[in-house]
Amino acid sequence: MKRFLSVMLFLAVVIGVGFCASNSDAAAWRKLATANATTKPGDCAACHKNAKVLPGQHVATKSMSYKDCQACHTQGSESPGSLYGKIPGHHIHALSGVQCSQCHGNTKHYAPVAMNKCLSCHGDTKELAKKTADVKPHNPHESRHYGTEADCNLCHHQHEKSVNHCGECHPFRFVVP
Amino acid sequence: MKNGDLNENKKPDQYTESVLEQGLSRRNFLRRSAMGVAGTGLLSLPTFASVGAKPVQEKEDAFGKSSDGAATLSFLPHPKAIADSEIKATLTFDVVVVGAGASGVPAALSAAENGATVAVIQKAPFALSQGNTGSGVALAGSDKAGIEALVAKVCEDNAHRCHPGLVRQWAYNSGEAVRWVIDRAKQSGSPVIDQGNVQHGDVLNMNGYKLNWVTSFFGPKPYTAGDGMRHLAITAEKAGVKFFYNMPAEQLVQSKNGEVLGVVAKDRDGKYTKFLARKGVILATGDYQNNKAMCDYFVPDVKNFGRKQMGKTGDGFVMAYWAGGVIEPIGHTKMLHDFDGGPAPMCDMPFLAVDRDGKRFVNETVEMSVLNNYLRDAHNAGHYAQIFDSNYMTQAATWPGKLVPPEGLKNYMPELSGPKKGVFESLVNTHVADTLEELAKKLEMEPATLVASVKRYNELVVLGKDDDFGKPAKFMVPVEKAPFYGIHRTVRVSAICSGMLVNENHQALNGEGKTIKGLYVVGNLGGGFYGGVDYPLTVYGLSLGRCYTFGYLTGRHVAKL
Repeated sequence: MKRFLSVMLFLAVVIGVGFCASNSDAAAWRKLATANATTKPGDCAACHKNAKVLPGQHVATKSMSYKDCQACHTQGSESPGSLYGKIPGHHIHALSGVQCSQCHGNTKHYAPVAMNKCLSCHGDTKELAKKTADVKPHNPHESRHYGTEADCNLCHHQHEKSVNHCGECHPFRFVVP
Repeated sequence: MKNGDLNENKKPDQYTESVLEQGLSRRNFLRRSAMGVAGTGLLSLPTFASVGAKPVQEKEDAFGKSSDGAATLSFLPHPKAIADSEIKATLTFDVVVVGAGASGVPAALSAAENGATVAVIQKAPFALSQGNTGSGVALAGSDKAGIEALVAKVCEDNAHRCHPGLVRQWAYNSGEAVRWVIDRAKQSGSPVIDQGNVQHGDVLNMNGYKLNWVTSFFGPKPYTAGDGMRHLAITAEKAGVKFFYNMPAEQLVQSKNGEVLGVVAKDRDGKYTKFLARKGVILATGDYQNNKAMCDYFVPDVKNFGRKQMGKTGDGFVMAYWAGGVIEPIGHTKMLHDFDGGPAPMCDMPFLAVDRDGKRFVNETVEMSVLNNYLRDAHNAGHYAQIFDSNYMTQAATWPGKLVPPEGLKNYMPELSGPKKGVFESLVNTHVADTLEELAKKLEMEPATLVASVKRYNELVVLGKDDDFGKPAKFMVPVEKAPFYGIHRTVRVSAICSGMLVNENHQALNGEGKTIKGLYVVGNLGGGFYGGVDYPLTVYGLSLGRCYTFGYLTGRHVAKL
């Protein structure tokens, strides 16, 4: 029940983000979208204002790129561990220098992005699946349900927390970037 | 078809009449609001606006409405206008099938074998289906009275809310259709077999009349009907069917007088292709279990259950509704099973059953296929466990179902490594332990609660009467001799099997009960075949058998137009 409540709470926050673009506690992705020309992506306060989004003793991130984050947040390390699953995908994109318009195009009205847009940078699905072939207990990028062609957005959400879609039925504890 | 013709020239049968009255259609709510304001027939009907045309009542038509017109339904968004400039290609076929599943693939192949050029548009990257068994009645070796008794039994299972003519159509045509599916899948190397009467011990004799079965078995797991449909799709390709994968259909193309002319689908680049159909579009997009808003509206009982399928978002419902079709009214039939946690033939055996806390909750003669009704809350969410002790092979030897001996149960135990056969390894959930406390931990329940439940159960066994739930005494056997076994089952949504109103040709009807030219609906998107609270398990493989049969018949019918 506790878990269910926390899921509901999380959903409520996500839905809140979707509808309350001006809510300063839950920074809206739209802000990042409009701010990205002038705001540094590591400047949390630019969008989140006074909300506490980093752990207490965290170093200043204002001028950091994703590469800088990875100096501490290495994959496989106990602490602080990788950032996978801790920050939304579009933060990783923004910190890596990917602008909103590179996915959404130059528009004021951001529309959902076709999957081929993801593949244009991340490569062919079959090649991607090869990269995770050794992940246990199952390759997350190849399944009976979708072959290698699962829609990226089934798991890798950009503007809300990513989900372990497989884990809804199977005991696969994947950490999803 | 000699039996059960649904002749549209006659007065509608009571099922059709009821769905026309209670179901959801554009015509239906407009008619009611018109009656309230100015009498029938005075409103102009935007229903049949062609795609690309500006909707007549744009503001009111942003979403579909409930049958009384009072509620706006967010899950029925009006198709957006697509300009011709956005269409990168237009392709023309005789028949366009939307959805490559257990009904769509047979429909496509059947149409091709009857001379049509056929396209299949599929959202997923390949054909998909679930389950193993598809059943049909072999007319040879069956008494006609037996077939009629079977029809009556299925109608009873459906709480008498189905269309008997459609059940009858399945009964009289399914033997031929299932045999055809087996033959055509084999042609592409499928290991499918005809199991005949093996799974039908309970339905070989109906009211003293004989029945004989044709039973396609695509298995054992992990091979399923999904693999079977992929094999059948290879046969279909050889027969000339063109498959377009990763290509979700977005909306139907209609003429101004309402005839369905084709489908617009979107590829991964976000570009549109228009598929025109000279003879007809066959929608076979399946159910809507992954569309939360639709489930909450039509079948709120499934709210807390997991889903077995993915991507079943009810696209076909939206398309058919805006083309003027009628969705069966609220109270859709659901199918929730778990054949994977432990052996399937033991799923209905009336062992002690406990809920997620370890508490006995039901008379265990209630079958697995309806147990979901006792486990609807967010905490239980379909979880329960069957509990028995090491005497089960002797104590349950005469019970209905089939026992799997201890050695065989190991195949269903996730904690035992080593190769498993005939199962999905990530879904097995059977456990054994020397104490009940240890078993409870493995079943993820409170040890003290399970111990107390077993203690109480054993007291009732000694008493010789089930004072708590009234289970027959012959099924009350003690749980006392270690090791103890537990099968942790989790019923999840396999399918929702209510859909669009159709006639005997599986042609969609509009809110006035008239056929929509060019639009056919099969599979779980088709209505009229069920109607009860739950999908019945009297005939194993009814669902796939029905899907194959109606796909087979409809493909042939549309090809011959």
